[in-house]
Amino acid sequence: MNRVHMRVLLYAALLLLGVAGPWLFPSYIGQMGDLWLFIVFALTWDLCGGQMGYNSFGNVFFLGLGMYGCVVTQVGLFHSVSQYTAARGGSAEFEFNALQWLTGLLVGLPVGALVALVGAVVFGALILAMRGHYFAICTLGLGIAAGELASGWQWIGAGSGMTTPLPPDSLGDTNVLLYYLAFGLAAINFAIFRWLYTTRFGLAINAIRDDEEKAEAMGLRTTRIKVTAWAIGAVFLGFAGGILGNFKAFIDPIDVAFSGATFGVWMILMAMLGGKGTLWGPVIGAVVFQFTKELFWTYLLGWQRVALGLLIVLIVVFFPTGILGWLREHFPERFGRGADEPSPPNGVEPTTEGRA
Amino acid sequence: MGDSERPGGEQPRRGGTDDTVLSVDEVSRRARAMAGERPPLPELDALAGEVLLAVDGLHAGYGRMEILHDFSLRVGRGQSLCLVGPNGAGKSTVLHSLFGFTNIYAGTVTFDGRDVTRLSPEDRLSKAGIAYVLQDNSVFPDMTVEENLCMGGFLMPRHAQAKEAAERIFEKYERLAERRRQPARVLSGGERRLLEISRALVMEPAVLLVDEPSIGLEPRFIDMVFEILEDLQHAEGKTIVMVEQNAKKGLEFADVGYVLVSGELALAGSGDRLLDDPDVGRLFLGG
Amino acid sequence: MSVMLEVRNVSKSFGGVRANRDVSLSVPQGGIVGLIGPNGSGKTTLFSSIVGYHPIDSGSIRFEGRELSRLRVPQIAREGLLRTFQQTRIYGEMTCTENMIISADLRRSGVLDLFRPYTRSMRDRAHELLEFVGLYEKRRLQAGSLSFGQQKLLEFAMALMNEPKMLMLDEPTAGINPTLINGLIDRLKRANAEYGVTLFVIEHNMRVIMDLVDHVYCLAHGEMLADGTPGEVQNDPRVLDAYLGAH
Repeated sequence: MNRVHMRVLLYAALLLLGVAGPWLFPSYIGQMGDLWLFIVFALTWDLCGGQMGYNSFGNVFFLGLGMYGCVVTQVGLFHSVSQYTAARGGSAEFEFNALQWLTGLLVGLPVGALVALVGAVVFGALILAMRGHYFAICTLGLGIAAGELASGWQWIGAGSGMTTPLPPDSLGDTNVLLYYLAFGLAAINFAIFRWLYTTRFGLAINAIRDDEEKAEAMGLRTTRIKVTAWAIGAVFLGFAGGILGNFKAFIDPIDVAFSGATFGVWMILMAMLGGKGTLWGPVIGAVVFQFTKELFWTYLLGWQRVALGLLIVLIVVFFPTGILGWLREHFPERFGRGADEPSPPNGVEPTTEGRA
Repeated sequence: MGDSERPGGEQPRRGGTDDTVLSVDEVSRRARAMAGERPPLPELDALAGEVLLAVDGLHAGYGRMEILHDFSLRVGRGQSLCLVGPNGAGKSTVLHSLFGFTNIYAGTVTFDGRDVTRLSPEDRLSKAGIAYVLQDNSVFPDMTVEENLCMGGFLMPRHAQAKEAAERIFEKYERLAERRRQPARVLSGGERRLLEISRALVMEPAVLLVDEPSIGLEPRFIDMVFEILEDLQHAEGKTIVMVEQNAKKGLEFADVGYVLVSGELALAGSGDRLLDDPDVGRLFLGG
Repeated sequence: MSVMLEVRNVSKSFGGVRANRDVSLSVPQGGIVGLIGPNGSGKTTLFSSIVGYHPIDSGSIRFEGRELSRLRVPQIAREGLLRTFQQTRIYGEMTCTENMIISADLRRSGVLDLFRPYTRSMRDRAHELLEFVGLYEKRRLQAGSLSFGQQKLLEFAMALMNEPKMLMLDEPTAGINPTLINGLIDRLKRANAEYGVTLFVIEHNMRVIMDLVDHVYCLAHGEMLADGTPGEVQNDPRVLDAYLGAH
């Protein structure tokens, strides 16, 4: 089975799971939805972390911004937000009919993404001037600070958080809709990144990773490129936040929206597990991680976090280049460098050319 | 080489033509044509005399990339050998293989009759007596000259031994003694190279592997470095294997020269004979 | 012939060490100028000052009449003034071809242009330049797996790919095979003659200096020691004393 067949098989499997998921495994719709969102988490983290070399510990900042941005819009279009949060969603006054709920969601998602985008541009301009560990620490601070600020902001519910608008019964099981939104987002994310990594922008962010000073010395506008990359990731995370918020039905500022300890860390983990700096690595990492995590939660309840911690150690020690990196090392003919063509040993000239 | 032999003061240097300049492909092609067959082992043995260091049928490289193909080498005790050839031919890889930095897929490295192919670099230094001087700047910049020398003796059983060895080096090289308490980063290029070579001498190795002794050095220090190496070979009986891109200087210095092309040994001969060979001159020495 | 680069009374210290002291020189448009001197004489520091790697303490640096001393590195590079590094710098995890493509001229483009697909002609030019330095066969290999000399050649090719107005080369032939040095000198001369690339070269190899440059400056201990044609400088007793030794 050569590379092309393998790739086609993977696409087919994922597509099948994506499209038919809710019918094949109806009781796992939440976990599968999570899976698609995790793919988005891993891909967007890898854009800055793996491809550009800027490890962000605060991408969860954009997730939270998107989440709050979306839900506030969903509520705010039809009711007073402060009254809604004061009543903690418990009052029957705050009803949303089918049209309102759908409109709220479909307007709220882009708004959430926009808020995340603004966050990326504003903060990116400030902290992307820093390199290496300074950037990492700053982003860590960003995520934590946002969580604390959200916990204190009464308008959006402060520490009690916000419940997302309850969909009316007439819409049926809206989780299916949310599921397909998640799948769609992951598919679009993947497709766009696949294209992105064939452009010169993709080369530019790799150049920044390999030698930022050299890139500057060659005239690349590194700050602008870095902010653009972070912003692209932020947009997808913003959308993901809105979807995730509605899935969970309840947003807690520290434990859900700006949860550095779970989503924030998992983003990095998934990309590393699969193989950072590659297109498929984050996808593979997200799939393996989600399956493993669900297994732990089901069968090792009580010990699931210990198991997860051990898994993290195992990954870092034994798979530093990730699953894809390991496969490439051991089966270079099958998995070699690059998405399209195998990399030949020196001297051998293939006829086609492409971005390796 | 017509272009460089011009009376001083004349200006016409614009636009070298293609007949005076060889493209890289052309060099490779002619080199392969000229090399014909690899020099046979008896020839290498003859050049070496009493063989101290030997390589047989080596296939070596980094990771999965094989750089050297079926490479053999013979160096005699107290001899000096210089590896020359185009960039990327694998010259440094030969030194790396002698010291244990490469992946060896096949073949052997023998030192004084013992098979050292699988020996680790630390063991090659401390037990076998092979020392390596890197191509790049490798002094510890924030440590003093004295501390750098002591680091050369890190593998010695007692620190005092390293200090004694360092003292001996200071006695021999006044230049270093003058700067013994200064941080290594203030040394000039020539002094830095001297420190790097002396540091390798602390363990009193029999063999010195020197990767590009004169690289990046200004003209007046180039001679100095070769004088130091000459002294080490003839006065102290060290065996020296070097890579030198300044091939003329390298072959003038060394007893034996090996020409490498694309990971294979193309030619071997005494330093003088290779220097006199017009083909070698044109292809590898810049005319 | 107009002046392309004008360095006037530039001084730069690093924590008490005077790396450059009141250095002045000029590079004419279309010319080839050399800079020699012992290690530690301030040559690389001067280069770094010119390209904006660090601010200077005093003096002025003008490129095509425009003051550079307050601009940042990418801006200066986009003005058309490029430099190569003494410790060769390339993008290690990208292939040679990718290294070339990302080096292509960015002067007229913004970040958004990076999203356009790269043209056939760009790729062809990349391959042509790789072939010149003998790296065509290695074009799909990771640049980091090349030998030191090959990386230096790649860096040189990348600089040419960028089509600069002026190229500042820091020891471009160190560690390069002598036969290939001839080829490099030739290509440098052609880049200068045919494409009008002005060259400013730090070198230790006097053969390269003699063969390539019109005018040479010699630095020693951070100060300008002597300057003139290669023939003049090579025979200057001060230069012989400070730098060339018994040659």
